[in-house]
Amino acid sequence: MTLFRLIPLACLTLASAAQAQTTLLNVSYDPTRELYREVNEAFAAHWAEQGHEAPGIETSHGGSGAQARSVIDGLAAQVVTLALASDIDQIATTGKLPTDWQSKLPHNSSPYTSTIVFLVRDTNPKGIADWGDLTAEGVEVITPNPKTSGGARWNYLAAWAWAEANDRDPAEFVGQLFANVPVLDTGARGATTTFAQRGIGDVLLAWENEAYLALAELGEDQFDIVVPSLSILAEPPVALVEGNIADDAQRELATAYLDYLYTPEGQALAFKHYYRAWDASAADPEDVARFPDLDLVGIDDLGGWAKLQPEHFGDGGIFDQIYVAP
Amino acid sequence: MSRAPLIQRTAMPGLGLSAGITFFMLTLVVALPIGALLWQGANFGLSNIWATINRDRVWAALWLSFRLSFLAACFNLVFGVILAWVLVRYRFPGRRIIDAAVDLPFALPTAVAGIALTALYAPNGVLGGLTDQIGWQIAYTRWGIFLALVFVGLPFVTRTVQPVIEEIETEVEEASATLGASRSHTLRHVIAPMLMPAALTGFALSLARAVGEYGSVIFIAGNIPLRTEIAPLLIVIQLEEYNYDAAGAIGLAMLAISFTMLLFINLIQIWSRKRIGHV
Amino acid sequence: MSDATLPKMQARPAATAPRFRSATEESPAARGALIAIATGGLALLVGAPLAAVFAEALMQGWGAAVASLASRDAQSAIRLTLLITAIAVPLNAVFGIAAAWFITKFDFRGKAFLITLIDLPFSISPVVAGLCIVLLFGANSALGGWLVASGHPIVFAVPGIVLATVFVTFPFVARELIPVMIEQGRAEEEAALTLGATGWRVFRTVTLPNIRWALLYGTLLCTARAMGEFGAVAVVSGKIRGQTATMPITIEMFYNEYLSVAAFSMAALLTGFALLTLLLKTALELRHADALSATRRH
Repeated sequence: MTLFRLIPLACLTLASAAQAQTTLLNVSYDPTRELYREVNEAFAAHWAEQGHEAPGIETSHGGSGAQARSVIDGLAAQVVTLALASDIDQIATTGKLPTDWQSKLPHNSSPYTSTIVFLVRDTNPKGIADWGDLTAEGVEVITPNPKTSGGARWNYLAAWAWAEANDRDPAEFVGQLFANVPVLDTGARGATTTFAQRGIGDVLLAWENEAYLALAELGEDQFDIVVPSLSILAEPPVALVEGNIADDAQRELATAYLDYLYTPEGQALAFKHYYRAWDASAADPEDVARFPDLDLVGIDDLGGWAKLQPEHFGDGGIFDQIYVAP
Repeated sequence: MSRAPLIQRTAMPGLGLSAGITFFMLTLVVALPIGALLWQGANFGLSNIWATINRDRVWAALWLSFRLSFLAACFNLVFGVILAWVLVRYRFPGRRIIDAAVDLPFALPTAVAGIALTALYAPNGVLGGLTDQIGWQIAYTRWGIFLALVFVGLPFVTRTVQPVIEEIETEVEEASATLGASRSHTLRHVIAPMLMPAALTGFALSLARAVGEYGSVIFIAGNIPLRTEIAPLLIVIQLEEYNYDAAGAIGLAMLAISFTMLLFINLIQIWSRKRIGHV
Repeated sequence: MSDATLPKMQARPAATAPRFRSATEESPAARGALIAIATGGLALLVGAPLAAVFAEALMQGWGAAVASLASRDAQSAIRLTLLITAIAVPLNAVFGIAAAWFITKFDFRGKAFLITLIDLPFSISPVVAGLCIVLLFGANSALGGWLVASGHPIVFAVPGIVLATVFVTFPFVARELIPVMIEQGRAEEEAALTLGATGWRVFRTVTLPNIRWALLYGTLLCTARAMGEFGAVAVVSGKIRGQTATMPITIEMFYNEYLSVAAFSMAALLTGFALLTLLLKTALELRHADALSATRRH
């Protein structure tokens, strides 16, 4: 009996039909699982404190591009929190949200930022200190595929930015770097597993938060984090999907949810989960102090997503040219 | 050759009902979704489809997928027939357990199978560690893909051949032996032809299943373009770029090759049944 | 193939005098080698991954494994998977019977084509299968747009997952039934019809008893496969926790969250379900063998 009541229930919820409880679906990317698990709990408590009924908040995680595609194909997300602005731009082309979505919230709609660092094996046996060491002979680099993983695009662009800053031919440099990659996983978590649990490769290019999490989850005595001289300022943006808002109550909830990410409490949670957030006033000083300083290049310094995406990662783009039959 | 009518009238009841259900379900579940794919392809245009497929990387991936699937299906053909023979003809402890275990690859979620196989056959895994010592790396090479494809296609041959072996009457073998044939001669010239049609079906199914397999392979393949990148992964990559047209084009190419292979094998089947069946 | 009314010998030759090998047996060395190849190969290919799954699940003991299955996400995933299976399997069983009847009881042109169409879902990459369903029912298609607007979305809801599951398990029952029904021929049904039985009665009393084992076998395989499907479902599910995340999707989620014990416990549970259906199948086959020899003995 209960089983068969589930069908209409699931259909109703997904159609976001009027219900007693206001619900919210946050469609996010892979490495934010732990962050939003805690944000959802904290926000629900915060929302109830303000005299509202407890909201039903659901999240969905996957590769950033695949998640954006699901929203385009009709997944009724009221809020998207993805890895790349270009993925939300794609949703905007369907008219579900305005094309100037990125100016609606502070800091380019990015409540937290991150960067790309190196995770190496304990005591750093290959002596890897900076990007230049990754193309040395015999060094195996693990990174996910930039074509399938948003995080890997940041890896690729960070390497590109370093080569530009150090007067190397960037296309040749990233070509050499990817020639040293023995396994191209499809997602960031897959790459972390390949490196940490299967013992493949000498260095993993990873989100900073992912690297710290791997240390915490998989053993601090086995890996070290190496911070390169220069990396990229990764801005994972968030947005409200206008087209999927059913009523005013839901709009109020979704807006409050995104605003909560910018409150000192929300920012403290981001710091706690190894994201570089903006407002440290409520954060644990230890969480803030653990981030090392390094030169961060913004995406706009490289030309912005609208130009970079097709040029580098489009069909037949610079990344594809690395893998051309000899 | 006389032209047969579209459908021959018989006294059998239920023509309307059975044909109705068959065509309704086929339409809803198979024809409409695949039709949507064909429609997408038709809108994209044949020349565009060809331009999408006719690239080194796509050819390399298709060649890899079909070649390894073929090799895996060949392995499954030999191993599956041996397994079926052993399970039907011999009695030994643990036979029932082995019999039940044959179907496990159908049941184990492909992603779980992929993770488990990778954990075992990675250089630091239990079995991968052993082979690594003789310089044989399995995970993240073509061997890994082969292994995963063997795994997903394993039950097909055994399950199609098993009932046929059960049906074979020992008189046939006795007769052959009486006429002076050696055991190996009997196996090659009497038993093997009897098993052929069923084994071929199993081979076809195993091949078809392996070609499309994605979930378990991506974990154990290195996914390096031109070397260990399978065709289904290329489809996923195109999807990530919101390029439904190109994804559909590669999907259509795989579909066309698979369909032709299956149709060919089914024709052989029906032809051989006609030849043997109505003696 | 040959005359079915001939009395049938037991598949295994009766025990002969100990020192003489029957002419229909391989030498003991060959037997041993074949058994070793079969068991060894299966142990490496199937047994080892299975053992790995259970070992990972029980790494922190039974308590942790069971506790991880009691979480809200795990519970709703188990319920959803059972629901999907309960809808998809009967659909496929009905289709399988109808298709097998149509194909084996009537002669028509294009039979090979029709069988190939039924087989096709096996050869389509699950990813492409998911893509097809999204193309047909996604919000950007005419049909999908209308369905979403009228409040009955298919994709990212239970109907889409059911459709994807039916798609990937489509050939199982039909494939099992067709060879058996070809083997049976039409003579018995024709005899019953001549004696004045109605169509339903012929099916119930003549056909069904002949095909019930194959039917059960196909249904059980279909069940096992339906519970484990990942690729196609991943594309159409939307992966919403507690709503559209099936057991295989939840396994992937847990695994990606470094919740290794939870992921493998659920994988072990799923494998347990599958093993249960497979054991059921084996038990049925045992009875089937008895029934078979009983009917053949008269």
